[in-house]
Amino acid sequence: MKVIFLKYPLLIFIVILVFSSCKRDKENEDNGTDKTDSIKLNKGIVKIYFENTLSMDGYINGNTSFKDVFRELLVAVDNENKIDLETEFYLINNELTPTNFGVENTKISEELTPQSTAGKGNKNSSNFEEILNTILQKQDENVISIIMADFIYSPKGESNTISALNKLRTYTKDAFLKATEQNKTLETKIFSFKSDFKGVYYDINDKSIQGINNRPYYYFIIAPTGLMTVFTDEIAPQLKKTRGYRNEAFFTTSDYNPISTEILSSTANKGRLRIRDGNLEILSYPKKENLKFIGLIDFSEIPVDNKYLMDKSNYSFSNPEFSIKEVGSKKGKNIHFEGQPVKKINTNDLVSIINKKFTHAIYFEAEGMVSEDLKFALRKKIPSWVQNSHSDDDRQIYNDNLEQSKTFGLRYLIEGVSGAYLQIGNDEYFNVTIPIK
Amino acid sequence: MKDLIANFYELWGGGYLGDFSDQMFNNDLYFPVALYSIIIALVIIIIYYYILDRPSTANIKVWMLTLLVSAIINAVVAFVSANNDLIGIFASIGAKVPKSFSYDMLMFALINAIWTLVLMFVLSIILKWKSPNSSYIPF
Repeated sequence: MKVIFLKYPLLIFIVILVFSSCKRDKENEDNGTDKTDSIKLNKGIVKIYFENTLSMDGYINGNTSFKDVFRELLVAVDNENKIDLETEFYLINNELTPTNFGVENTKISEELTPQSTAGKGNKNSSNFEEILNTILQKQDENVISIIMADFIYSPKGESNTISALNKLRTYTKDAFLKATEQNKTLETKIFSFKSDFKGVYYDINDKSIQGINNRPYYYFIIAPTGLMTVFTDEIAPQLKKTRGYRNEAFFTTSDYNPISTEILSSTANKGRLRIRDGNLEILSYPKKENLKFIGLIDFSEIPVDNKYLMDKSNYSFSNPEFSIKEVGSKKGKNIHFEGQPVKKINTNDLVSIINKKFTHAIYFEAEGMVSEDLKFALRKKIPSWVQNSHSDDDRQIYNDNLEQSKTFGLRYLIEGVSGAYLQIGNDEYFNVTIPIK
Repeated sequence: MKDLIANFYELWGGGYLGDFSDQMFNNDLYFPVALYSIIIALVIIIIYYYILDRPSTANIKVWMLTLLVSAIINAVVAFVSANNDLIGIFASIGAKVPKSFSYDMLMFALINAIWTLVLMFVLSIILKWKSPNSSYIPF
């Protein structure tokens, strides 16, 4: 053996090289698999939880928009082809009751009625801290949890409402902190819907109110990143097509750096710019107005609702000289800013962005002379619709149409979710630095 | 290197021609023009001092004519090279080269001609010494 080593050192070296390269190829193959491929190794389970309380009866009484959306969900899950998803359905209140009402999964929505859900646990109980805690404790790595509820907080026996709402926020945060500490890839999406409502509404004092015809409700979707991607790409679009869909929010510990950007030097800019290897050189400032220019950006990998991306208040700058004038979308050779004529991208800029993918455009403005690099970030904030959908006092709901579209205590609940994610992860989806010379 | 060549052609900002200069820089079009120009200048100056070299050519007028011919050749090279490359680049997005680029290309050709004259002068100083007849040209 020793003779072989001494006699053929080159041969031995080549053999070692071949073996090591084979190993490296295998590692590359493993790394090359996408998220959904790795999920294929485990069977995915979609656990759908319906908040089985009296306040939810109005959504399942007869044919309602709630049932339409639920039917779409069941069918979308059943027809999802990327991975093998199994559906489990639960009624949840103080008890967790698995059921399929003796029918195939896609038909569960038809069987969901106040009568079929009666007698399953205590329908007077709607303790969301407990419900979320129970569900999060059952959150395995191959599970997508979907909680369907009105999420109206019921501060039973609490004399101080604000204190009770703060408690809701803190306990919700605690439940999500424990869950995300165990699995840092756990993400949460919240979808807001509106449905016709044929039932009794219970206000802050537990007073029953009839005659409210439309009410919001929510889907909380909790899943690890890979499964959330499948949900976002394959199932969520079906839900967002429904008549009842209104808004969504997304919470994650992940960030999405680096993100592709390109400053346009010749399209709708005010001032003379030169772009060199990603550096922005300001050759001259406009005489009568502020410096303005457009940056293209690729948001295709960010699983955040387009409304959130288009809201300029969700962006922050480290250099206060800069601000965002508009956020728009890029479609082909054009840029669409809301309420403005379509802006055609200059052919020179089109040449610069050839073979590059961009989805959105940001119109930047700089006040005065620029002294620092352009650094901006998309913040992880609670979307503005949450505040608009939140109610602190629902006692006048019968006479107030706007109040009928709101949910008592919603902001505190979502602040609890958001707080947990911000505590574990960072507070930016991405940040971009464009050096300025 | 890319920045250095761009600085020569854009005269450290003084000769920056906006979109044309951006396209030339972003698509690395300055480098081939610079390379061809240097090679052409070098070949012509070697021909003048060592191949064409006769007592009758060893005078300042012929030397200046040589420089002028080199500058014209390199101006044409710059114009044609930039024009052809830009036509191809804009065709890739289904567009034509902007009309304003014609003036920019003439300016670029002129700048290349001026740098050719400077380069030829420097090369003359370096290469003249071993020339049998022209070692005292230009001085």
